[in-house]
Amino acid sequence: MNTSLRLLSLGLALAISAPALAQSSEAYVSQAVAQADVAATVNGSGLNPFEALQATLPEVPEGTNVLVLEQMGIGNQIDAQQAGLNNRVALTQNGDRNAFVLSQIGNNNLILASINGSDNGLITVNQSNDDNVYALYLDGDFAPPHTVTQTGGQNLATQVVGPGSTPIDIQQFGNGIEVLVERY
Amino acid sequence: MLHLLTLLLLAGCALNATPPEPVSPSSARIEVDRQPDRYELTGVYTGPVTEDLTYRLEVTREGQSGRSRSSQGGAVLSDTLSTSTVNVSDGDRVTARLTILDRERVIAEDRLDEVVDA
Repeated sequence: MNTSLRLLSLGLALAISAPALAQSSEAYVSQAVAQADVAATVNGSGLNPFEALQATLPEVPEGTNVLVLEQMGIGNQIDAQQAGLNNRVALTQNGDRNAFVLSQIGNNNLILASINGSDNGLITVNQSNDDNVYALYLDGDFAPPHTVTQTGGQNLATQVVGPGSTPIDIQQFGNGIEVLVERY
Repeated sequence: MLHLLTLLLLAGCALNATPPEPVSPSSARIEVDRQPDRYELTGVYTGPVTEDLTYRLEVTREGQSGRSRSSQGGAVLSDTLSTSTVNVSDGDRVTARLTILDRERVIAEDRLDEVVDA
């Protein structure tokens, strides 16, 4: 199955389950490999990124920022920001030397990202306020350290990364947090 | 006599010389697929592709729901570049700019600036 679709399916499944989590009010997590079987939640849906995002929209009020970004080629770069009550991003990069910086300010933030390629560069994600969900599927031979920062309550960050990817730094501040990382 | 022959030779060469090929103009175009609830913007480049070409597609949508802004870039490998899709509703303003750069020099550009009237 297309890896981006797998990621998006994963993200949707996790987005639904995220609010049930509750841990310390402030945490810092930096881990190379976490033993979390996120692959078990992946299933095939046949949805493209926009359709996958649309599937989440009925659960949020009107006035949601939706952004779908697709790149194919070499040296893909994305810098995106969203500010609003509800923010959604689906990002797909196919090719080598991918990099992206995403920032969301508002409640109900969702980022679904899929990278297929090697020699990837900077990956930085910032989500602030409550209900932050970030899911990355990275299928490539190499990725430098990248960072995810979530501030607010109900944070979920999940990644499925390739064998050459280096550890991620995930910082979460708030109530209800969870990190899932799978390396294959 | 030698001069005359030289002149004739040069004239013959000039007549037979292949005219230089016209340089293909480079152009950038933002294609917009306007749906009632979303805009899909695709950057398209027409022209010769060289390894020095890069592109940047910047899209902003502002409205009651807030603001989404994206900037995508990379190497120009084919006619079709990045795609950016944003949801829209009546009254939203969508602006976009596509630039094609040869190293640091802008060689083609296209812009979009419109208010959504679904």
